[in-house]
Amino acid sequence: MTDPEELTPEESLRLIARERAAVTDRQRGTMLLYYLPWGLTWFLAFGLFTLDQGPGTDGPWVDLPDALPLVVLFTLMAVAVAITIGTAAREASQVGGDSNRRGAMYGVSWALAFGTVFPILGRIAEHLPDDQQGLLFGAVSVALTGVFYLAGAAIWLDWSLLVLGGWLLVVNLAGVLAGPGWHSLVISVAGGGALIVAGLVAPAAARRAGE
Amino acid sequence: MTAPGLDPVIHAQARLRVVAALSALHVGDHMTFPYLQKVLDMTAGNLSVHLGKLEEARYVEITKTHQGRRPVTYVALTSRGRAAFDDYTAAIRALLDGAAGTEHP
Repeated sequence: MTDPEELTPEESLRLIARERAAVTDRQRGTMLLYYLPWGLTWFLAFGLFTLDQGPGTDGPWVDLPDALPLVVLFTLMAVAVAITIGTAAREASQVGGDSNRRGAMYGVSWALAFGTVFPILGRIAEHLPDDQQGLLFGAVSVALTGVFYLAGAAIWLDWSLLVLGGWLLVVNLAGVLAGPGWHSLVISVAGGGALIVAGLVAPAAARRAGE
Repeated sequence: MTAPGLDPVIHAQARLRVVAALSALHVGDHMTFPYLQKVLDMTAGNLSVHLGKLEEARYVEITKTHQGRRPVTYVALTSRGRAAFDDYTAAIRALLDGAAGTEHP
């Protein structure tokens, strides 16, 4: 007697691989939504700062309206925050448990860190010339981000986060040593660029690691 | 006919798919019922029936709770279910290896 529903061993293994991939691919797809909005924000906003500050010259590379770079930065940041929160909320509606709690604590830590460090920078910035004010905010933001990626590497045992966090800290330092306009250029290209690359590469890298 | 040594609770297409999908989660995590349904593309009724059988065997744990006022149902593999799935996978691989090389006992 043969049951038409009876699975051959090959079919069983194929089904197992397919369903496991269906779950993990969806989870990895969301990594793009965490990295890409922030990568584009850094690339575009710090790109405008670069044009405005004109590294290596006495004036701007391109004459932009005074408020434009900051308006673009705050607008893109607001969009990126909304996408990040929306992505996290959607994940929480699909999978719960320890991973969810880990992610929630990590998210709250980001908000708490930036929310308490920025007012401190504001107090110090009052006493600095304009170009140094921008450098202070930019450099500390990137440094905090780098440190959070390093912490993320330890939480999720993820080497790609360790590399990304380390890279951000090093290029950030190099940019600060080179000076205000240069820092913007370095963060736009090497910082924003790294986040964009991470968003595109991380899902594929995680898939290989999971096999 | 069920191949000898294969767990009959898992060795059925629909339930194998459920267990395989749940096994992709980290230990300590659970999936919401609608998400599991979406991943597997099963009807709610069909999925409920198979989850019932898996729960009877104590392979899955089904938790009904509330998020605010909205009722939520979570599904997770139990440690017993995860062990049964690992045993099943090992048995399938052994069957395939046995078929491939007859010199091995």
